[in-house]
Amino acid sequence: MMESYRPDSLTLFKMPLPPKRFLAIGAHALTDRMLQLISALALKQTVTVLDCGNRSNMYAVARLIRPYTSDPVSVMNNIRLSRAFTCYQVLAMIQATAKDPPREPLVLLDMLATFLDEDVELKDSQRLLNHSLDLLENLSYFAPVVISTRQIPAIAENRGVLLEQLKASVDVCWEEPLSLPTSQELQLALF
Amino acid sequence: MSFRGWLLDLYLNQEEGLTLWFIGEDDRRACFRQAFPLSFHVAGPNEQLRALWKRVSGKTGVLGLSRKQKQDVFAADPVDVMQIDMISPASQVRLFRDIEAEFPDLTYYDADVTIGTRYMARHGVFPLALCELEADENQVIQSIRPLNTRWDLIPELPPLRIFELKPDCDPNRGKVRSLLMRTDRFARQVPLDPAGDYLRLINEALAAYDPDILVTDWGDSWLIPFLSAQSEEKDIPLQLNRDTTRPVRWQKETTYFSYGHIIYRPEEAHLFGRCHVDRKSSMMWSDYSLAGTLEMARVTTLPIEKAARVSPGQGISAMQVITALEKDVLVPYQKRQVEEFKSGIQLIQSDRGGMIYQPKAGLHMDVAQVDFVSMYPAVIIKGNISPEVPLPDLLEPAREELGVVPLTLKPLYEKRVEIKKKIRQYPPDHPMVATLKERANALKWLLVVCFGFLGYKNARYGRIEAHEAVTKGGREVLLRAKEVAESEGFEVLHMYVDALWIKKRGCNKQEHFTDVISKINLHTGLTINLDGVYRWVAFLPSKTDARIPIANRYFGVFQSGEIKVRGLEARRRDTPIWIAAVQKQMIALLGQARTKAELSACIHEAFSFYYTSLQKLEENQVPLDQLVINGKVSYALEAYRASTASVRAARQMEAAGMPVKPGMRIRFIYRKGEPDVVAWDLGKPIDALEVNKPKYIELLAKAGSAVLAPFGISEALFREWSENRSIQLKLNQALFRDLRSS
Repeated sequence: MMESYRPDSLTLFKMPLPPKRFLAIGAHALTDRMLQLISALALKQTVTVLDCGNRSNMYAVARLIRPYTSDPVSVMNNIRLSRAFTCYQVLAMIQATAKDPPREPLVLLDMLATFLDEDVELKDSQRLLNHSLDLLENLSYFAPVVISTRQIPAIAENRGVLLEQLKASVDVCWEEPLSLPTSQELQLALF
Repeated sequence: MSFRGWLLDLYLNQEEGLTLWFIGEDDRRACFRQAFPLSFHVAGPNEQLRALWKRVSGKTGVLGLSRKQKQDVFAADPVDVMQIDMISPASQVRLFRDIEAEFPDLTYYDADVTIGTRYMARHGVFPLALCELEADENQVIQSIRPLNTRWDLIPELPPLRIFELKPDCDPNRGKVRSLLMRTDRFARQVPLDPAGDYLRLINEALAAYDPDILVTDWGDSWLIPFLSAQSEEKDIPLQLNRDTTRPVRWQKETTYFSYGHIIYRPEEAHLFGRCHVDRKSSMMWSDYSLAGTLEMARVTTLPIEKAARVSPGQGISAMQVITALEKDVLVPYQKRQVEEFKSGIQLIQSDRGGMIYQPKAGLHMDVAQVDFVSMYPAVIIKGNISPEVPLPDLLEPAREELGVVPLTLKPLYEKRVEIKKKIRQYPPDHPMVATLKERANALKWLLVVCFGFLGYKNARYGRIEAHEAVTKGGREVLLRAKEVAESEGFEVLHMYVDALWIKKRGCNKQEHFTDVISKINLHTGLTINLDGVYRWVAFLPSKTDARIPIANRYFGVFQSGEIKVRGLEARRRDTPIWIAAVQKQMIALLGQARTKAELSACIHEAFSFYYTSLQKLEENQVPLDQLVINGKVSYALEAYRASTASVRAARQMEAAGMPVKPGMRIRFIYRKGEPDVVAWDLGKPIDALEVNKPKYIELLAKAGSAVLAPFGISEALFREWSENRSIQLKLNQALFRDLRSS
């Protein structure tokens, strides 16, 4: 049963994270906030990052941790990171991680990005995603698994089923509220 | 029977083998067939392989099943695989399609290699290879061997029959009234008459001339669809193929992402027994024309029709597959190799691009530009950088035996270097020079993409760590070069990935730089060339902050008088032709100056030219087609939130029933009032008075001010003057004192 969760101001989810699957959905796969989460985790412990959408801006992480530590190199060394550029690689990367499950948090950035690739047939994307989600379920028994993704873009709307598949598989889901119109648009004309 | 000739075309036939067309040494065009049994491989858990074995045993087309050990490029040790021997390529395609759907979790190898690539790997035969073959009385090839190689410097090529067919105007812009047919024997304009006689004339001309290559303009997007539809409607047969048993083969339109750009490729018309090359859909035609296309086909083994249309990345991929097949290394169907885990700090250290050393903005006299020859390919070869080889220590290879990637690149790199040497042996106006340059350009593009391909997601032999090792090697090379130059007393003004701009008091001739170049060669182990010595070169500042220099945005004049421009409006594809021409001419006028003192007068001339151009615009003397902006849409139109000028023009086209696809070029003109743009390809007449002149003045001022910025004239001032003619331009007084005194 999926829980509703109140986001922490800095890291979306309340810390410390329990061993569950968390999903955060928002524009740009909430990259800034996920990098904040990685920084917060890395300040205290090892964190494994599986980057599925070329989102792991480690310069940003280095800037985020700098005010909180006198030894940024050690903190950056707390981050174990691997990148995948196709959905086949995403599955292979999760399989490799599952061979020796980490006891510390696992973060997947922009998980669905490569599954939207139109060169891969939808049924293959679904099969690979299913397999990946099964493995993530196993991994979540050992440590929290935090996944970020973005809404399915209009150009790939026929792949909306993938997001539904992902949402159905997690314990906790947080969705970025739709942005309000800008104040200029709300302001009534004076004359 | 024996036959000698050049391979022109190769494709699968209905009898489950191959059909091959040759151009005979006796000028005869001959068609042969050949059986082509082949194998593919599967790896995975034993129980799944056993299930697969049961599933395919005895299936139509399966010749045999066996267990083998083969080398996977990403595995340290050979892997156990099941080898499936098939009777023909067509049956292999069918079987693979079935079992992949049924056993998706197995790992497949050699399963989707194109037939031309397989043929090359087995027989050493490639497009336009001169071959000797033995065939039986049914024209079935029994044996074949090539008489030349892909790496021949001056290959013996067949006397190709080229048939040009093109409409009398751009069919997107106007009504086509006639077609031009042209060969080396005749040229004829054929009117598009309602009765369809032009179809008969084209048919007769094709039959009589029997061309090897049909070169068209808009052949894929308009001409061949039009001719085919007319032929059907008027019931007049049109035989475009040499193989009369086949209809034209249509390849679906596609949009893809390549090197930061969304590219749209329309539907393609492919022929059998001859080749169709559409100049308008050949993405590199302007760079390397037909000679380069044929060179590309020869070295990559891609069919000529494909070599003309696809990006060089596909060529490199085909070449790597050949290398792998020749080395008996498995060709993965889907790459599943992932990046090894790194720490955050390791990622920061490794994930960097090329070295850039910001230029010293402003005008510099007597500067030499030195470039490394194909630096990244050279680093790959020198460092033996390949996915299966341990990474090098900077430039020192971890092992001597070359991996798949450097083994593929080495002959290509060497061939290009040799062709460049050959070019220098001829006088510039020699007829061989143009052809050699086109061939060298084709090879250059293959070399350029090979580095990017190492990091490309779908590259079979890509590996992100190898990609990073190349840029690391490149940075090391450039740093070593800088140290050498500085130790020789040179000032380094700018460095950009594989090039350095250096100067030293008293050095203004080529021979003054010979020593430093030799020393850089020695200390880096890579070849560096003198691109030229500039009389002067201007590095431009940022448009938003004049204190910040911008890398690779400069123009200058070599001692030969040749002008070099980078990063300016004149180099951009979306700049209107007229604005690009004005900017180029302003630079050319400045380029007349041989010394600082002469520059002062040349600035005046350049400015006068600008003024005259501005007046022409205001007096409606600029032809409208030269004001067309060549924009682009990268996404489906409904995905756009902000409406850019290109999007607004594209929406007009869509409203007029013209389909717009992501990656398509959208041509438009700025007009006054609403709508503020007019899509050029709507073909609507546009009145010169409708043109939004202030907008074009703004664009022209931007282009003009870029040229005069090094002389202290800011864009804002220049624009204000262009709009109002009422301010006094303040030149950089210090610079001008300096110019007058020299």
